[in-house]
Amino acid sequence: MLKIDSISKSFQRKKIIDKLTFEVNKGEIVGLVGENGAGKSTLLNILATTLKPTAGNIYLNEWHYQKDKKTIRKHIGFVPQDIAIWEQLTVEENMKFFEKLSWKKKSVQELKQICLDMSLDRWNEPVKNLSGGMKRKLNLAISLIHDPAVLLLDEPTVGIDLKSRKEIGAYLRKQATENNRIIIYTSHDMDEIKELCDRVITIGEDPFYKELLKEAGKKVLSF
Amino acid sequence: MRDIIAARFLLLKKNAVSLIIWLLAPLLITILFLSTVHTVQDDFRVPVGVVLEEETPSTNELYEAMEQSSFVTVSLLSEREAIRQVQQHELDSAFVIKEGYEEQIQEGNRRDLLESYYSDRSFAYNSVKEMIVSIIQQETGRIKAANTVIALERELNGTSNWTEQEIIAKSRQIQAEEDLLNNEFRYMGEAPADESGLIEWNPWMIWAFAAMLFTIFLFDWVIKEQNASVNIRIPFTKVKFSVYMLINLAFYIILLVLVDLITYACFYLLYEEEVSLLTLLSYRMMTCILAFLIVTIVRKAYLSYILAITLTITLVILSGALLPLGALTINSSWIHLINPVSRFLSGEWTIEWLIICIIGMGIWYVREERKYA
Ligand SMILES: Nc1ncnc2c1ncn2[C@@H]1O[C@H](COP(=O)(O)OP(=O)(O)O)[C@@H](O)[C@H]1O
Ligand SMILES: [Mg+2]
Repeated sequence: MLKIDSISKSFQRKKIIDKLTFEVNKGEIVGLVGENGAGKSTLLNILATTLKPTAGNIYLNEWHYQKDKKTIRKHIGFVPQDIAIWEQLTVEENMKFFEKLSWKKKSVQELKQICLDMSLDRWNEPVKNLSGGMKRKLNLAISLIHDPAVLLLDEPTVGIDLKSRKEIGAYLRKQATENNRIIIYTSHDMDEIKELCDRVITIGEDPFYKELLKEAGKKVLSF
Repeated sequence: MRDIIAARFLLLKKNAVSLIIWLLAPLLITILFLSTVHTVQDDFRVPVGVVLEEETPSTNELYEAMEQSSFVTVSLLSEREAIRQVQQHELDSAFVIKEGYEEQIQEGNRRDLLESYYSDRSFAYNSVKEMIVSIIQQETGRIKAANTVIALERELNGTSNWTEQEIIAKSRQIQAEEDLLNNEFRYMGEAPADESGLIEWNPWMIWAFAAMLFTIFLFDWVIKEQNASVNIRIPFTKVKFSVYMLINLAFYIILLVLVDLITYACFYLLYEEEVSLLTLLSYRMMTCILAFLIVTIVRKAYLSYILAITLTITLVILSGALLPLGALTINSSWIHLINPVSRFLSGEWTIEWLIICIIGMGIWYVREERKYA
């Protein structure tokens, strides 16, 4: 269970996040919505340990984010907003490269299976020849090599075709239910959010998203 | 550690060709440079004909002395052929060593030893003549000295009974020994310009400049990987960025040392030039760490190229290889001290540079640790 206890974050006195508290259970998918610049990426980075909150505490299971940072990091899969893969390598070489640096050993077959599960089948293709959707899938696949308990995704479906988006969505749902992972992700696609998320958190002052989600009968937490 | 190296191989495989080119560049450039210099020097040699009317030790001596000069190529011809070739401008000029040369020289007579042919297009005639005259002068001087010694000995009733030949041989020997001594004073393998003003280059000097330049070029992998989008994933892997970089640095040092051993063998086979292997190792470590620090500080590929070129040119100038700073550099020991190439060529460990580099690495390491803490 991921427990966020009254965290705040400011940059140079500008308050981005103010006393945010919520919990996420295993197997749950939580969506983060809000206008550009509201602080979605900031929150994800805090949950990924790469940013420190100005105040408040976060716990994953019994581990404290500050005190057990090393342990926490082993259990986090972070899918960055900017695609982070080696353009010059093939899909296979990318998977192998990050497997070498990963906490978990995986066989080539297992690595290939991760890709196949989200219909990324161009195993020997250099990444620079792949479509945007394929790259997004690989970006996600790499973050899953070490079987993280928490998966944090920053706009994983931005700018890609509908088919790939559906495939990624279905894959995330499977990861949550079958592997009991905690999934938190941001998106601007409201249909996708409504379809996929168990709960939604809106960030920022703008009531627009909140209204929209309430109409759809979603459970919304805002601050 | 094995995992990091295996990961490195995945990246290197893609750039294998350019990697091999950068690795071998200093070796290839040195060989290319030296062979170009040699051909150019050969092209500038003036063709000169020699006709020997008599074949005696003295005439052979003269002929060999001419052959050794690096600004003429000498060919042995008949007089008719020599005249024909001078007329057709195939030869710059031709010199006939007259019958009776040895006898005349023994008697200390310097007239009527030579006859020469030249044309209106002969431009080297005078300097070749000067050269021959100075060789003859040396020879007659030596004979004169020998005769004086013998005469003195007779006068003083000496008992050693040296012959003229023995004294001449002794005099040659002394000269040869002094020549060897002169060579010991060579600065950085640059032979003192011989009478024709041509320089002999030490391959290790050319290599040292090229190695500095291309090591920095080669290390642009550091820039690429420092700015790589994938770095955002490092906190979620089992490696620390600083350790990842250090292991890769060590990997590159080992790779370059292997190439250096090949270079060492090549230079030994081609030029019979040696350096101490330990000095080579310390120079290599120094260039690698320096290259690493430079690229981590500038963080931009083009800036690192500019810096690499500037640094190399500075070294070339400090070493006196480009401008005639020779006298200045030999005399000022502090230039020698701060110039790693000069230290390397004189067989010293560039220990100060190495220490500075290692301190730099320490600072880099501490800063990296803070950044990812
Ligand atoms: N390192 C930083 N220093 C100062 N301000 C920052 C920094 N990172 C983000 N911000 C600011 O915080 C706000 C939230 O940014 P971000 O979390 O990226 O928004 P979102 O992902 O919701 O579009 C923005 O106004 C941005 O300018
Ligand atoms: Mg963002």
